[in-house]
Amino acid sequence: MATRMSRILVIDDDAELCELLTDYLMPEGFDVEAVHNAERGVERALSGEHALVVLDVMLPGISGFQVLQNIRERSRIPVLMLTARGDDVDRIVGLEMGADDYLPKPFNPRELIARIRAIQRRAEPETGKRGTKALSARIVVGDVELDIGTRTVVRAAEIIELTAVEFNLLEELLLNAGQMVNRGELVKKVLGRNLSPYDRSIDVHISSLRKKLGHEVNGIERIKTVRGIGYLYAQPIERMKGSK
Amino acid sequence: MTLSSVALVILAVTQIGPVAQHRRQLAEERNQLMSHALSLYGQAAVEVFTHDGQAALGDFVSRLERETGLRISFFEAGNLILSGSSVSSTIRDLAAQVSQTGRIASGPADGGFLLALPLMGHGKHTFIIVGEWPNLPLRSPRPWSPFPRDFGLRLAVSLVIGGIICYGLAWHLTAPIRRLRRVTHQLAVGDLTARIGEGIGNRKDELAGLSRDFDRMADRIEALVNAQQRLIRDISHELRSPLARLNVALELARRGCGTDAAGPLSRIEREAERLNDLIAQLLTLTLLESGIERMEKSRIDLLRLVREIADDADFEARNTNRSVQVMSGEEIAISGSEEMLHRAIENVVRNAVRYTAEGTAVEVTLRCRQKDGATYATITVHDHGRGVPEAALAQLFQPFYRVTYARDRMTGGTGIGLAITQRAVHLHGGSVKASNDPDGGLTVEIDLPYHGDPCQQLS
Repeated sequence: MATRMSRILVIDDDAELCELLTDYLMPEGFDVEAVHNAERGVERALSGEHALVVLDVMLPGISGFQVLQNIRERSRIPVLMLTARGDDVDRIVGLEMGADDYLPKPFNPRELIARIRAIQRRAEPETGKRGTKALSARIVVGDVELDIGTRTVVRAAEIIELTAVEFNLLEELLLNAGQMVNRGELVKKVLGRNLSPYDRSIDVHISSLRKKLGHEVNGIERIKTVRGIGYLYAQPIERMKGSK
Repeated sequence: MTLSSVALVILAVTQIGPVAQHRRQLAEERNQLMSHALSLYGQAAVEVFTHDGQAALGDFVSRLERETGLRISFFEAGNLILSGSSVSSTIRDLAAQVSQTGRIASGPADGGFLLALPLMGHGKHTFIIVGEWPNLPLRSPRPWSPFPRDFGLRLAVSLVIGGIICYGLAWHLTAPIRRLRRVTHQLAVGDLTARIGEGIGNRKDELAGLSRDFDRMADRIEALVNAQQRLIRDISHELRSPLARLNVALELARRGCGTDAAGPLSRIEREAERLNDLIAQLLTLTLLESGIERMEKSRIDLLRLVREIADDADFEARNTNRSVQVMSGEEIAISGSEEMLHRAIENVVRNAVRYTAEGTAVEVTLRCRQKDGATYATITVHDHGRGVPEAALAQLFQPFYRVTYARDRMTGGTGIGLAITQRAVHLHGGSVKASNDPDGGLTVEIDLPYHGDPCQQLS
């Protein structure tokens, strides 16, 4: 199986860790560039040469959040935050600022790979399980049109900028439009991990989707929250061509 | 304010002096008045007796009594001549006294007053007249009162003025104390930035010194707590970095090594995870201990929470042939941090699962309880383990405390779980305690105050 090398940028001041990560990630198909300070990190992230950024929010000096903000101002490149263990507020703040997911340090490296892969969700299947999806390259539900191949979203003729995870989440919701999707399932499919108690990452992403797409479509709530169970994307009364 | 009331009492008491003096004055005036009157009547009586004889005296005395209420006894040279009333021994004594001393004598009679005077008759005859006033007051146009005329007004005015002055003084004295108390309370409940500052105005006395000292103390406390927080954060960061590197190196090792190394490598991974958990729990504990964790409060359905925890724990417990059951539960909702309470209750349940004997079930209940006039939501977790020595029960909730049985090493855990439980429960105003059951297991009880209606008796 030909694995295309994916270029990853790691912004972390721990040089030894970066070395180890480079060794570890290479055989998994990731080509790592490591940068140890914030300014250089922003510079490299905006270069357009990478597929994903792994960012340590506990950078000395200029805060990791500042870096995240600077990157997000000009790029939608997927960002995975490395956060401090036990600090819940940091996580939520980071997600709200546009990070795609987080991973508390110290982390299990296998977990890191799982989350990176989940965010990226390449059209080319690594494991082959997404092969069947290649057939329907576009999903249209109501006023939203989602193109899996080019990973673009159009709503009422307007291009909507979404982060990688937001895109994956929307894709999942649209595929199940009109039906409820369990929160645990969403986390598993979109973030590549199991739902742990009080993990509100998926809620932050849903909130972001609502803001970007608009809370309502044709007078009804676009994404409904079913308390304690999951979310539901509203199916329009009139089915349009091409939707599942 | 007790200060003011004491002062008012003192004021009232000082009015008594003038009253006593007034009474004395009155008594003297009365005596003077009466002796004048009696001596006049006496002279008249002597004239009547000398010129008109005893019978005329008798008439005179009767008339006098009728008109003035005054009863007279008349003595000559020690012998009673006439008396308008039954002559008591007191009257005789008084007369004897006067004849001896030659001076006025007075004394009380029952309900009345006696006055005895010597009188000079014609020639060498001496008489003694004893007058008995049955009761006072004398018939006079002004109603007689034991108090000075404007006593009532004076008392009222001095009470009011005194009251105002006392109250003002008390207020002035205690204002800084009240402020001190308020700020101290603020500090005690967790606002480390609370200071007195300029609040008590420009004073140079002991209270000013006290408030300056308080501010200095508060500065020190805030600095210490902040330093502790920073220290914990720095330590955990320092511990994180080697652990993060260790984890990656471990995975690299796994990849490179053969199956021989798989066992030990897994072991290393487990220990690394234990270190991870320990750090996380330490962080939680220190945050809770300083009491200023950002607590997001919400309405918690306790029954649902307890059931969730029990179900999760039960799922895991089945792996080791144990189980967790909710025996009974009442619908109770309280306000608090769901995440904190989840951790608190879960730690207790996990502990119970660890120590309960194989094949047994950990029993969890939730009920409403009245204790000392307050309402509590009480969660009990009961296991069928070996219990805990009585002496160790109180120490169970201290960090790192382990009851020293050899089995401990096999059962895992970090020794901090129960400490977290206690801190979290305390932050919600509740309490937790452990006790040994007669049937051998341990029962842990968590009481959480519940500000709702008192427990209803459920059927």
